[in-house]
Amino acid sequence: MQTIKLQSSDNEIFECDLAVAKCSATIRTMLEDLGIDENSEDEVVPLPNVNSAILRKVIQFCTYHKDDPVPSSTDDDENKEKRTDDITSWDADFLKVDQGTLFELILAANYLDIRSLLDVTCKTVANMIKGKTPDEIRKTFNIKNDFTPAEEEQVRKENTWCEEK
Amino acid sequence: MSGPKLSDLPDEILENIFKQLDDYYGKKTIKSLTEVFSRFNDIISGSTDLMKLLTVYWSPKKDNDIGFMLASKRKYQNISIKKVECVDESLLTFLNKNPFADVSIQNSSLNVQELRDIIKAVAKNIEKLNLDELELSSEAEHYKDLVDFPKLEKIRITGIECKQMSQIFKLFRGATNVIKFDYNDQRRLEVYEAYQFSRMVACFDGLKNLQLHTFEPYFFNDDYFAKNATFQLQKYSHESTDGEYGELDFEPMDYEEQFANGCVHLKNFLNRQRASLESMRINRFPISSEIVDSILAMDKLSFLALFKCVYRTSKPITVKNKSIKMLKIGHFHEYDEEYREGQLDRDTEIGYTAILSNCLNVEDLSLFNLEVTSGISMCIALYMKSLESITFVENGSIFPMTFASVKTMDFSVIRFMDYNDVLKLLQVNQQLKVLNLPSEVKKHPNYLPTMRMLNLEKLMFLFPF
Repeated sequence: MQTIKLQSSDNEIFECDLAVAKCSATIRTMLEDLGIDENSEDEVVPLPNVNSAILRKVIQFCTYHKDDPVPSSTDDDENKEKRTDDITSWDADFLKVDQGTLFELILAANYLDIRSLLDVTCKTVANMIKGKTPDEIRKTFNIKNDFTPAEEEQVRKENTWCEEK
Repeated sequence: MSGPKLSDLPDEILENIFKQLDDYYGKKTIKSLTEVFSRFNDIISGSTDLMKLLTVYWSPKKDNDIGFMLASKRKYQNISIKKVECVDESLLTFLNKNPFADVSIQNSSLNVQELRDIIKAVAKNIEKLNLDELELSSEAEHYKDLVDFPKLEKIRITGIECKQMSQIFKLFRGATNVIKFDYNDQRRLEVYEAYQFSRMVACFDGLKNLQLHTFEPYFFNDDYFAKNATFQLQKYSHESTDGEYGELDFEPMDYEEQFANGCVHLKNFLNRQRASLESMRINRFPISSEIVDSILAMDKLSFLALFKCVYRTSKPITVKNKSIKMLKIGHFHEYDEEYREGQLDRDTEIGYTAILSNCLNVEDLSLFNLEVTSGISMCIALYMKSLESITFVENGSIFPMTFASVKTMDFSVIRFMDYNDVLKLLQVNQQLKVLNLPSEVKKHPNYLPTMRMLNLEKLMFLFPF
């Protein structure tokens, strides 16, 4: 089994299966474009935007999903119905983390370009938002209302003219 | 709580999260999100995909102060204009300001110029237009310039009561990119309107899906047509200023001529669409064998439905088109009633016989699942040698016919069926393996004896609706 070394932002080195690392399009591109020798034991791929705690979780996710089929191009169809209730029990358990970790996983999935992780984390956040009032959303995510009274009135009045399609 | 917050995430990620809110409850939440935090509102306002999830309902009774709508940062994609009786500057400004892709005008009373103003304001971006229950009340405006609709692909016109329908048809002659056109009206089009209608649709070079419902431009009533045609001639010669009206001969004709004339227009139109049409549904239209031939000769046609059409032909029709995957010919309840009352003329009866003889070639169709709508479509099914499944989708006569190749029958989507007929049908189809029935059938005294005759692998019960 071929392995590769990944270095987190806090300089921790993770040795992982090459197939697992290649779940990340960013790492695949780095290996190809930067000419990093996949067979070299000394080569380390630096990942300055991901800390060790998050990188450990990412590797855990990719190890579990490394054999999943690659989404076909037709899955990009914007008309395809989006669903947020199709998260598997393993993924749901994996994402039972605090909000800070969840958002760091989203940022890492975005940086490493791991579409399956990005999708499932975004769906998880969407499920936390769904059905909530503005006040409930602010409270859930600790957001401060930054609207001026005039702006708030504008948005509120506009919304009375709108309905969900 | 340590680590980043939701509001710290980059715009593109937040947009990605919000896009997941695509189902019913999610869409309701989009509006809530705009009120949470200014950046959320900015992201949603600037996202085409997210703005597609909202519709503006423009109705005069809502609020007289619409300045806030004109000051909006949002780029709305969908608008539904309801119960508007005049078009003011604020509506036109709002229409011009937003890239509306989906426009619906419903239950409104406008004059032709106002409708034209609305349509022109959205013409550049519109992809889908729905005109529903629109009353056009004023005199016609004779305009020469063609409105260009570079993106318009779908038009649906339903339930329109207007005196100037031909003006609507003229308005859309620049919509050359239309691929789906659905026209549903509960009244008869007058001859000149029908003429404009066919000219408009003929402009749709790439049309793939055409649906005509209750479209009777050449109605079979000598007296009606003769009087109406004379009236049309007088009316339009008087009003005509652009010289187009001379192209049709409005002299009263006899019954056969009317039919032939109507068919010629439709046939010419169908021949022009031959290369592109993939799906077609025609309701209540008089068609000849030539028209059926034109339809069936369409290279790409894969869905064909002919409902309540009047067939006037004694010539057997042959289905040669191997591309057709779904064929629906049905809804002959009115025929049955007329037949019983002795009101059906001989020609129409011959027409139905011709359709039945057409069935002899239906076995060539690549069709494995038929939606049965009436007794006559059961007759068609009888000739399909590869048919595996029949779904009964409309109330109608059910005859005890044996369908040797059929393994699955589904009755779950019709209600008020005659269970006695259903059970008789099952008794002569003992090859069935899968059956889907409404649970009420269990109460019928013949249910258990019939079930004992069958050798089913799967039996399902559903409440109808």
